[in-house]
Amino acid sequence: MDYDDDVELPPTPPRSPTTNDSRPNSPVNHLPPSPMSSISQAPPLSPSSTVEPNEDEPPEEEEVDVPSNNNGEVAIDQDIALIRGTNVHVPTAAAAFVDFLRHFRSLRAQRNDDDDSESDDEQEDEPPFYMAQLQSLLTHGHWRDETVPTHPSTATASLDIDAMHIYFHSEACQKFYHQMVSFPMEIIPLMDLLVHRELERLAPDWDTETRGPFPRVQVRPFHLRQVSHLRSLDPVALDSLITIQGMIVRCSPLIPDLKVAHFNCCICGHAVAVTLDRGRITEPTGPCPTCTTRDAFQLQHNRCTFADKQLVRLQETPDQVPAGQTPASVITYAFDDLVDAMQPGDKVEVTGVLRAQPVRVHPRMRKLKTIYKTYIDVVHFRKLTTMQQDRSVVSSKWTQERVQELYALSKRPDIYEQLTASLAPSIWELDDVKKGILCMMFGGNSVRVQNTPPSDNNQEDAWLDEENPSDEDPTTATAKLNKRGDINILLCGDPGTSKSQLLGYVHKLSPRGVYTSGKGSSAVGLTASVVRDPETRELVLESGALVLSDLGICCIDEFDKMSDTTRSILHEAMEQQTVSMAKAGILATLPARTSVLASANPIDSRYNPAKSVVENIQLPPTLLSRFDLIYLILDQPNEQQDRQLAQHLVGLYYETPNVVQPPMDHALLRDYIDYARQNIHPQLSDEASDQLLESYLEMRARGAAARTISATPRQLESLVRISEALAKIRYRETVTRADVIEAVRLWEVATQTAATDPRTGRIDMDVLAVGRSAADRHDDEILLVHLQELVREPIKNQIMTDS
Amino acid sequence: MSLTEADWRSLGDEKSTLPCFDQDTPHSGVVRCLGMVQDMLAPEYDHTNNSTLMERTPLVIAPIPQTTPWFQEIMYDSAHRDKRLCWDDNNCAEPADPKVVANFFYDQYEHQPPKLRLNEVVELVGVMEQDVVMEDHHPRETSWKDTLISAFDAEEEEEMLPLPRLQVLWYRTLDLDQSILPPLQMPNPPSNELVASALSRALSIDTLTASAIWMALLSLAERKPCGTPRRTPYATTLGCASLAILLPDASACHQFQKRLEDVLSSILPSLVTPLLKDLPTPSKKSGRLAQSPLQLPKGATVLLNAGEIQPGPLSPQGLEMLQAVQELTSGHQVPYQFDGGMRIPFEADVRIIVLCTTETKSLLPCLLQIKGQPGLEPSDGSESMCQTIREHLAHARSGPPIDLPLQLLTDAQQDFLQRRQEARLRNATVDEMAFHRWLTLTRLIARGRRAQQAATCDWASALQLDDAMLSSLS
Repeated sequence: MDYDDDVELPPTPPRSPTTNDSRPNSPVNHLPPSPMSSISQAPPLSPSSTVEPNEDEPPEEEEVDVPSNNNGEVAIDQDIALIRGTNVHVPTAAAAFVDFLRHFRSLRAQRNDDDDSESDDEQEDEPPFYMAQLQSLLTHGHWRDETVPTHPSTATASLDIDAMHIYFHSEACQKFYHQMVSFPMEIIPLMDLLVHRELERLAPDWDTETRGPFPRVQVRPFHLRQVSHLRSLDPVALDSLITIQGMIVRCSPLIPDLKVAHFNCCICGHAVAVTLDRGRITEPTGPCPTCTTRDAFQLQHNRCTFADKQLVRLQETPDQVPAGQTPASVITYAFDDLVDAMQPGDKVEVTGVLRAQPVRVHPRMRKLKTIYKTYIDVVHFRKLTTMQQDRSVVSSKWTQERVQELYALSKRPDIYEQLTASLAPSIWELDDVKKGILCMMFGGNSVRVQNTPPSDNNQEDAWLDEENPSDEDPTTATAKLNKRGDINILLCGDPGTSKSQLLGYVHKLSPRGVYTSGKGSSAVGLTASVVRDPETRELVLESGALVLSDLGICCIDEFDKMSDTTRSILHEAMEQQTVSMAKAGILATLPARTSVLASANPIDSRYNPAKSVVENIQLPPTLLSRFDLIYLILDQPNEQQDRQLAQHLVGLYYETPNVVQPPMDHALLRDYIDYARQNIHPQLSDEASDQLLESYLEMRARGAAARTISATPRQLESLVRISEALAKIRYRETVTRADVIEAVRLWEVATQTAATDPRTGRIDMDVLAVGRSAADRHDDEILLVHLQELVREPIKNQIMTDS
Repeated sequence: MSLTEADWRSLGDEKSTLPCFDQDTPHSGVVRCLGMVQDMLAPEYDHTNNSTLMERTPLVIAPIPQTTPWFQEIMYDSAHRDKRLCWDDNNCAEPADPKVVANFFYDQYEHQPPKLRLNEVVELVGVMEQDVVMEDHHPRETSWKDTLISAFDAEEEEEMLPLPRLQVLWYRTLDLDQSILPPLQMPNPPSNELVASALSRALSIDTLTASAIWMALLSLAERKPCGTPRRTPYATTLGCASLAILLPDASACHQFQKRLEDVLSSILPSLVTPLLKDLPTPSKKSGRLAQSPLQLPKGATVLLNAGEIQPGPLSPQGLEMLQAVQELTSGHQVPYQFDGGMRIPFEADVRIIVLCTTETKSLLPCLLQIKGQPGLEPSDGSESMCQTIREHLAHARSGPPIDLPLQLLTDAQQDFLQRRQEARLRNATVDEMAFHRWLTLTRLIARGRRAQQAATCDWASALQLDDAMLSSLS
């Protein structure tokens, strides 16, 4: 499309007399002008070209709108449409944006167009992406605060626009994108205006009497091409649109931000409304127009108009902090529907305008210093917390190239071995343990089954929500049945066998990993506690390790040193995946959809092979049975292994440490796992199901001869989870027979060893399930019979003597 | 405007005539200041010259914790000694919080933030800022209106730190060891045995314990080219060795602590003896890092008396403190708490000696453990002996990283295999940590010889010392 200067704006339908109410309501309109505007390169708009309406002036539509052409459409006067001090030519910018709104379908379609390939009919039928969203807004009415539809400021909604969509739409849009980034205070209101007109065009017959005033739409651009670092913000970026990432560490209470002040004369009651102008309300001090009394106006708080405002402090995440530096933080201000949209602890990407304000000598003094502090006026929040089922996040987190790279890796026949070698490369051997941990990191599928069956039998599948945990409140567990997909692993064995190092590595690799020590953990440390906020003095809920690692991995070292009270918490967390608490009048069930990776040392310092696992580590069998894989890592005498260990250790002390370079670096490994967790949800194939049944029956049959239980349904569930994880490792949507065979092998290597009765050498799941083997029970029975006989013998003799 | 290194050198002896920073009598001109980077504040934009904004990083500079008298004499010119920055020194009349905020302007350093890290020792030359903040240091009386305003504006209007500000013209980082380096090399450095025997006499303790103390004093992290310490897979820092000395009871711990303080304060530049009770961990809340005794510069020495720990329930703060000290003694790093529950470990390349009893020995795990046998006779710590050890120590610690030759590593590998097999026969454990400990001791012994490369004799001495330490425990 050729964007010449003759481009026309869309036709504007006839406006109702309440046109003022339909002014655009950009988030940037809330903000006072930057005090830096006189310093930076962005001077305020000229009155002739401003796109932001002023209360005292006619709406800018009158200035931008020019007489209609023959088609009833409105053209822009080319001479008056330049924003002063900028190179933004309003008609050109508007034309580019309107074209984007009306024609952008998807980036895929855009690429096809760019490649001049023949677009198929399906793409042609695809409606323009943003027009469809606007239509949906009109149809479904996703307006905020619909409870008061008559209030002019309430019928508002926001339209999130991916800035990358604008950038890749056309050359003109690329220019528009740069203008938006450089002059957001001018361009975003223009975008509001144009979106508003498109909305009006879509609903020309809007009846204000029945449907209320025409709604407002706030445009919220996000996902800029360049993500800035908190540390790299400098004065050059002032008043421009930026995107930064970080973690929210604090949110203030809602701040009522005064927009229109209402003054009454205390003598005659004459009312005057004063609108916020450049961040200030000018108090009327002149004579009252009615009674001519001077300084007689008083502010009427209950009649003033306020907007919602919130201070949100954003801080660097630990991985962004350079060595030896403290985390940088920045203050951001959220407005309207962005207030309370995010919570402390959320990792977010913030798109907003970087501003600076002079520091006062004292908060109560107007005298200013020459020092400016920066802050960000938020235009858009995007939650980044990974392992979260937010499709919009997932789709944009990885670039197409990265996804292709990940898929190419997954097609490698040795990907399983490569991933194993990349996991904790400094830890020697323990390949099967690493494979188990790898399965834990990928995880199985969580299945959530609603307990209210649908009325329509045809929709049976609809109430099987087989997905990874979503944002849906998991605490409504009473209404649903859950099958967990998280795999729990216990590492048990001799000291000095790198168990803690493995835990530390997994904790660092997992995006939501929490590392804690059983010795230093209390029940509240694992679950949650009610504490008094030092600033607000209010009681708040502070999350513990299990809750913090929701949708992640909780690594618990020295599991055996944990107190009984703390352990009892884990029973609920490891199977129901929630933690419940009742303290200080707060009753809460918090989500704890986490995999537990624990390590435990034997009670006698070294593992005694003559004793069972339960006897060695003194953990309650009820807890042990919740682990899918229990690895015994023993320091066994083996000269060959010792030699290799010595070589490995010596290698660490070379000038260039002889650490094996992992085939995949840390970032790639993390992306590979994250992508699989979020996007791959394999289903059991028929052959895999058959193999599972066959393996399970075989495992059961092994114990049948010795009248022991060698596998329980819990093991079958574990096998399903491990098989699903193995399919995820290869990015397959179907679990194959090979996955099941490998899952069985992993289970045999791990748990089967732990469940072997040391006296008989047979597998007996009772060793883990109840803490005693069948042989023990049999011995007890024999002992009981003998004792009974011994007791009965003298009695019998006595009776015989008496008789 | 900034001073270049050449400008600074050309000043020559004139440097010493620069007045030292003194909070009580603020200078309006150029001052000199020595301290530790205690906190890093958010960048600020300065708009002094009305045309461009200049970005600057304010760093809070605090006095080096617990510097010893001889170090202060060396570091501060005698003419300005009375105005030096000091901390917890009873003879000093300065206020308790003599900190300064140093403003580093980006354009001075090629538009880069200064390459300074937290807890680094730094010497600054700058101009005291005549800021309005200086006029209003004292806390104001707050009215109910202030309270109401602060309810909403507490974060918005972060008060400037009520500290004097220094506009930095020139700075350099200092190493505690190198800053006290005597100009000439000692012709005949004393051997490790000689130093151990001198320490043994001074502390009135057995030679084996004195050798272990000497090893702990030589402890120094091996660093990567980027400057960060090398970590081992066992969550320890390569080259660092903390020492736990087991003593019969708490009173013996207390007595020996006094004796150690007396002797070591003549040898070391900074000796910190924090009380484990109510020891705050470093924590940055609401934008300020509260100073903690665990915030230490590289080369400082920490003397911990675990004998003062009493059995009983731990408060959450006590638990947090204990975990932080455990991390310090076992891994040579200290966790710092930040807003949002963020916990970031910072390096603590310090020398650590823990005095403990058999009950408390497992509370603060150290790489080296020994059973001390302090004698009753008075210590014999002559000033000349202390100075000899001090100079030798400064030279030994200022040397290059100790290289482990291939032959030594091959021998070490063989010895490890052999000792592991022998240990199995005795039903004992020789694990990876033991191997790591032997190699660390080898490095330290080589460092004590001021060698650049460890030799087989160092390895043999390390094994001998380790065996002796283990047998002392049994």
